[in-house]
Order: sequence, then C-alpha cells, then structure tokens
Amino acid sequence: MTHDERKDRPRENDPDLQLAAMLEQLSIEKAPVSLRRKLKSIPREERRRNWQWSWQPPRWALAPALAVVPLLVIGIVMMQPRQPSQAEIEQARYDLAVAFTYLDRVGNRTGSEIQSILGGELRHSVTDNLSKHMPFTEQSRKEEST
Amino acid sequence: MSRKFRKWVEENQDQAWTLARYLLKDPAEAEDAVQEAFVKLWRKQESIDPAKVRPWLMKVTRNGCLDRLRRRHPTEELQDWHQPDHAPGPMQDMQRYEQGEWLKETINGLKEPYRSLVVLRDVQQHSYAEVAGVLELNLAQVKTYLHRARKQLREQLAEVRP
Repeated sequence: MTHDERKDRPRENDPDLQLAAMLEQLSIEKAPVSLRRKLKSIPREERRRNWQWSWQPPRWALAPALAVVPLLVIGIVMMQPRQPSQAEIEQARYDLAVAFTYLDRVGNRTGSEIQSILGGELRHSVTDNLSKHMPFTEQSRKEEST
Repeated sequence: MSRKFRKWVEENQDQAWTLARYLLKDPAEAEDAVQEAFVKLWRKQESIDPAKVRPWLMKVTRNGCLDRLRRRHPTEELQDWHQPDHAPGPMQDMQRYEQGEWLKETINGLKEPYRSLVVLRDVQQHSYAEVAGVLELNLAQVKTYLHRARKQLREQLAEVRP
C-alpha cells in the first residue's frame, strides 16, 4: 500500500484511528463520594492512631521513674510492722530446743568428767596435796622438772 | 502538612481510583486499595519528593492492586500475556454495549503489564517517563509493550468490526 493509498483510505476503517478515537473517549473516572470521604479523613485518623500508639514520656523522665519503683517497694516493706510468721516461730522454738539440749548434754558430760577425775582422787587428798592427784597439775610438774 | 496532603488527594484521587478500577474491577476492593495507597503517602510524605508524588502514588496503588490480585488468583492474573483471555463478544454484543464499555472490558482482559500501560498512558495520559517510573521499566520497554498492547486491542477491535 502506497502512502497515497493509505492517505486516501477512509478514516473510519483504519483500526489505529478507531482505537485512538475510542481511547480518547475513555476518561478518568471520578472517585466515588465514599472514597473521597475516606481519603479526606486520613490525616485525622492517622493523627489519632499515632497519638494512641506512639505516646511516650520524655526520655529524661524514665530514669527517675525507674528509680522510684524499687524505692517505693523498699519503703512499703520498711513501713510494715515486723511480725514473725508462724514458720519462723516454729524454727526459733526448734533452734532453742536444740541449744538447750546441747547445753544440757555438755553440762552432764562436764559434770561426769569432773566426777570421774576428781571423785576418786579426792579420797587421797586427805594425805596428799590435792594438786598432786590432779592430772593436769601432775603433767605441769613433770614439764617443769625436765 | 495536612493541607499539602489534601492537595495531593484532590489532584490524584481520580487517577488512582481509575487505575484501581481497571486492575481490580471490584469497586469495594478498588476503594480499599486506593485508601491504602494514600495512607502510605501520608506516612511517607516527608521522604517523598513532592514533584514525584503522582508516579509514586500510581506505583503504590498498582502494587497494592497486584498484591490483591495475587491473593485472589495466584496464577491466573499475573501470568505473561500471550492470548487475550477475555475475548470481546461478537457483533451482537458490540451492539449491546456501548463502545466505551466494550473497550474497558477489553482493556480489563489484557494481562499485566499491558493493562496498566494502556490505562496509564492512553487513558490517564501520563508521560512515557512517568509510566516507566510507575512500572519500573525503561522507556524502550514501555514503548514496545505499549505497541503490543495496542496491537492486541486493534486485533480485537478488528474482530468485532470486520
């Protein structure tokens, strides 16, 4: 097909031109009212959302805030009157019983020791010097003589 | 800040809506996609070059629509285009629909990126450079793909108008 033939061809039969004409008729569609409303409310919604989710105290306030927590706990504990618990009372009673039992046994053993050492020897004290019959004085005398 | 955003909304909402409508067809879904794109614009407005808001918005809208299509039809919608899957009706259909409706249907039947190309370039009259930016193609690709898309439309037009 020559240039002239193309030129002479009726415009309405040229698919290129037909398509171009049809495309020209297609216009940009108007966004619906509901969408326009949603888009308009985005700044307000986003600000609200940001306020809800990203509010934070200033950084300098964090350190004192964190320090206050243990101080409060300690203060509350200190202000409470000290009342021993039942378990603590039971433990103290048990410890006391053990201590008395120990003292009792030590006293008994010491008494029997004294009795066994001194009891028999005291009979000779009438004729001899008392210190002579005591083991520890005997020992010290030997050491002195050597 | 919100005045600037409102201006962007006024300038771009119709174009974003048109693009979403062509890509998604379902009006409710298209509304959601456009709203999401503008919410992203609000959140990123400080980092976006004001001169490039429109292509940025078109790109985000399109990507949002394609994500929705992927979720809807994982394989069908995004495969490479070879044959129109949405052949226009015969002549009697042509008589039934107006020309514009027929063309919209036919454009809707194109595969990506041909459909977006025709909408952005031929319907919305974006520049080639803007279209290239939106679709992340180079200029040569834009021209080639657009030529193929128009050829496809012409062939379909010839079928209904022998």
